[in-house]
Amino acid sequence: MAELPRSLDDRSSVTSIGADELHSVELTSETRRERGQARPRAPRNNISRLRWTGALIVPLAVAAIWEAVARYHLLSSSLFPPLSGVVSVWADWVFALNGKALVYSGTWLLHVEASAERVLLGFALGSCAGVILGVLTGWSGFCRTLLDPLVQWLRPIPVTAWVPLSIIWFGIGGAPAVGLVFIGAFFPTYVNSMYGVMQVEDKLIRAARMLGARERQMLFRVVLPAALPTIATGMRVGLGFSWMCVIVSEMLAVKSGLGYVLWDSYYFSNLDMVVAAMASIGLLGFVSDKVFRMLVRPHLRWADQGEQK
Amino acid sequence: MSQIVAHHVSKYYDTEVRTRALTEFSISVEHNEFLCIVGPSGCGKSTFLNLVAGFIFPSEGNLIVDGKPVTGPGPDRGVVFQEDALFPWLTALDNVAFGLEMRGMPKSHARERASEILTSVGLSGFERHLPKALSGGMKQRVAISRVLANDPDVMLLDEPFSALDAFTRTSLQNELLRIWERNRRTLIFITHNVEEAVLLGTSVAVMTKGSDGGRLIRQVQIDMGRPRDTTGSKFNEYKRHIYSDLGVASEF
Repeated sequence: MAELPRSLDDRSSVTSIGADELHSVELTSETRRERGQARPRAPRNNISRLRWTGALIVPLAVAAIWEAVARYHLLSSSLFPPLSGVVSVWADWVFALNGKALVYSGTWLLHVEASAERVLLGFALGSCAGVILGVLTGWSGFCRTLLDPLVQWLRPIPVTAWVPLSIIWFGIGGAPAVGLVFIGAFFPTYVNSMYGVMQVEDKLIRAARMLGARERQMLFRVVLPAALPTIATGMRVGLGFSWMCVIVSEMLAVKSGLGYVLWDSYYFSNLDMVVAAMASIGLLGFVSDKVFRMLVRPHLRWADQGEQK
Repeated sequence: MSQIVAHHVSKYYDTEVRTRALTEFSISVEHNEFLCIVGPSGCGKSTFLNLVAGFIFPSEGNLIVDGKPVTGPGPDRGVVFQEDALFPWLTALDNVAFGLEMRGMPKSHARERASEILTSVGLSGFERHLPKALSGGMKQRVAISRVLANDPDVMLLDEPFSALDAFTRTSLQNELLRIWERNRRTLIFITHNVEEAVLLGTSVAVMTKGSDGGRLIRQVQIDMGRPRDTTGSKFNEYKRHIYSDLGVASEF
């Protein structure tokens, strides 16, 4: 619950927002460290409290309508499980409370770990490969001529179409899932890295050259930092794709992970469980995206144009 | 010997039709001269600057700097660009230290030197600011500082103050003169502002845009002491002169 404003205190915190934001723009982390300040945090004033409350309105409304539709049998509960059912199955899946999740009671963390591990490994490998090859093709016209046509040809192939091949190559188990995640993470990272590098402003290249930068310094000290915002966007998209890929492969080729639970529950017509698995996937994707942005943010502070916190 | 010699330099761009940016341009710039080049948009003044900087190359003619033809950009010819061309991810300090680091100076050394230079242009206290947190005038001070850090023989300035308000511009003009007087080097300063050219230059090259590309009309020596009285009759005489060369009626 949002606290009521304690008149004077809160008013002063509101008036200092402007100055605070200015500071977060102007001070580097180093000065802040010197001054012994923590990084300015956003949720500390009425405006962001309001924003947090606001962010809950629509989800709560959707939840209420959902529960009402199921409870008053506006739709058959075999087609449309009530929210309360999903929540109680989910709770059992996580904490082994009431056995409603059947064989999966208390196994949530296990499956989350299995999926997350595959995502992490596949994303790390795929985005690394994407950044390296993308920067290379963006920087060198020769490499672009050599590599880009093949990549652009493979890129439109949907991840699902890679499933048979990945099973044949890697067998049943965790490996094809990692392989599929690799593919999912690779392409968006590659494309964004390439365009990011190609779009580095000419004036910055010229400036660096007249200041005496050589080719290698140009790449690492100018082109990479300038392209970083675009590269990070590609990685973020790639991370989202990674979750999609891991679920697809777990549904088809692996015997663990959230995708497996989802598909298995579907076979046994456990709709509550299907929805709980879907919600879990969404949650993990959301959290991993937040974590990624948090990690990248300090390096991109120069590029946000007074972005809202 | 003159430091910069352009001998019948022409520059074309081969687009759909061949466009001439610069035609038969000849000029020589002495050591420690402060040459202002004035002219309307499209007269080729920036083209000439980019040629000297080594960003582009002449289609015809020779361009010699320090006895050698220009083969590319280098730290001996520092450029201050018209638009903000600082590295936006680097602080003011690191922008100024950039050139020194590129040339192998250890980071701590380079930063120390950069900090001295920033202080000398009145930016102490702004070392850790990112470019986006600086005003237009401050950014151009940083842009000048990062060139000064390399201590170039030649400084090329491409309408560096054209986007600034009148007060900021005046203070930067004075700053530039101070820098040049304290530590003489060759300056080529591009502007479309006649008054600015007469105020700053030891000589002013007047260019126009012809049907076949930009040309040099005349080079005027400014024989005035400093500080120059911008309201005096001699100053206005020069202005009138240059305005009539440009085919524009003077406001007098």
